Amino acid sequence: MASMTIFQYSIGKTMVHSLDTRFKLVLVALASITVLHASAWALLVMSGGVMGLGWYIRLPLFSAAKELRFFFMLLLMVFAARVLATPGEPLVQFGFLVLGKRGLMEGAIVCWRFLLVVCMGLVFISTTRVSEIKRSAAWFFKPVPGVPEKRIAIMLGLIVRFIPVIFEKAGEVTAAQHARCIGRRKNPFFRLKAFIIPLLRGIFNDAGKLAIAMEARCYSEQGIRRIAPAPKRDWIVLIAGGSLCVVAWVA
Amino acid sequence: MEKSIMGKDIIIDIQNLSHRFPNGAVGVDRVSHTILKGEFVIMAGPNGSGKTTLLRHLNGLLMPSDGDVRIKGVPIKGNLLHTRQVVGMVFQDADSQIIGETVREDVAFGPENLGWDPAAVDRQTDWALTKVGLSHKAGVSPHLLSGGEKRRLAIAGVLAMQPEIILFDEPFSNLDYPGICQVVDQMKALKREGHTLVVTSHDMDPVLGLADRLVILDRGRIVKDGDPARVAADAAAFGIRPPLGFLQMAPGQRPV
Repeated sequence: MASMTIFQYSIGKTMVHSLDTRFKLVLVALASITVLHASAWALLVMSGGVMGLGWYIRLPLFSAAKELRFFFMLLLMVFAARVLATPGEPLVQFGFLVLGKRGLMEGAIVCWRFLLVVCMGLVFISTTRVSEIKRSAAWFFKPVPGVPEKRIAIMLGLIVRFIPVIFEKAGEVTAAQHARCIGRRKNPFFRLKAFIIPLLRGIFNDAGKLAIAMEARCYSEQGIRRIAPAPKRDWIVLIAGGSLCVVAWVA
Repeated sequence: MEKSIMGKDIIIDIQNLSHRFPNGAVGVDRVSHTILKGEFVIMAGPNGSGKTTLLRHLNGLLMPSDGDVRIKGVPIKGNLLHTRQVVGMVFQDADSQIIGETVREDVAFGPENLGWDPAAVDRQTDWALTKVGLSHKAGVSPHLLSGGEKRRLAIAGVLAMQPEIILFDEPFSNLDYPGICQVVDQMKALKREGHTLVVTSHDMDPVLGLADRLVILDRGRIVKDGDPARVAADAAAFGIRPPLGFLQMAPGQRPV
């Protein structure tokens, strides 16, 4: 039995699961833009909201934090770059390295914004089926002239389908390399090379197998069902969520 | 137009089929072969003997460099949709062919691709899930199924498209004993219902008693073809492990 990652749909019957996917996409996009412009107080309120949603849909927060560990490393680098590159009143000085109060504040806020956007994406991914994302993408692109909406929708669906595969492969490669004492190698470039090559080979191999299996089952762009009209409840959620985003933006 | 032999229709007709890969390697070399409707054929051979390459021509996943393949009298060239609806294929690695987020969604993938109306897709999906005994897991994520269940899911995904021929590429690889039993039982049921089955395998044990014919491939050519018991006796000469033959027993009588 394969292990599950949190970056995939998890079956549930909550209101977030059943909300129209088009509305979920609009709300996630709106909230992401709002997060980039919101003040620290508004960010605090939005973080509370996202954590509440995570608890409501029973997102395993500990596993989420564990699987986001590489993202945290990236955040750490962003934070360090921000702190070192922002001028301002110095708090601490180590030789030529100066840590300013403004840099620390700005670094923390930028990382907070990124983290919040990722968490919202996580809530979206774990409550939305790939097939629904496909259908919604096709619906959004349909009015755009010259855009092959069904093809784009399939591609989007496949990208989302591959997120858990990539995580699973990365886990396998890491485990296999630890079993052969990669930990004793101190050169980070060697370790990166040793990790990336088998990972990419595995992913491309799986992508090839999936493409052949899809072809064998008559894959075509016809396989996208139409979306049923959204119920009244979903409209209320969309309007309420949208209004909250506007308030958070201007606050 | 379908041809027949002794009153039985030829469902797969391979004529002088050759396949060369872009690097010049020969995968299949001038193979001619016919399979009758309702037959159960095992294709055995060592690694690199051309089993999977030959199988993929029957579903139109590969096109011949030379020769011709006809399914129910219709050439696969120019008739891919017909070919893939009539010939379903279950792949070696069940994990890599899972497309749906749930078991049900995965089974519906093929019928949706065929452009059937949603009611027909739902009907076929329910029927296929019942057929393989996975109805109770319809809402479960496929990644949480056991190896045998995943293989049954792959069979359901193919059955939902109503094929007459089902190809199994190494169906027992990476399966434990209960998983092998589940797949063998499924094959027995399919054979009973009149499906034509073509199975490639290194391991003939599980299906030798079910097969009507055993074909041995070596270096892209058919080197033996005939009664399974008789041909199996020569298997070792071609690098294939001879059968032990215990899985043909009824489920209750198998050694545990």
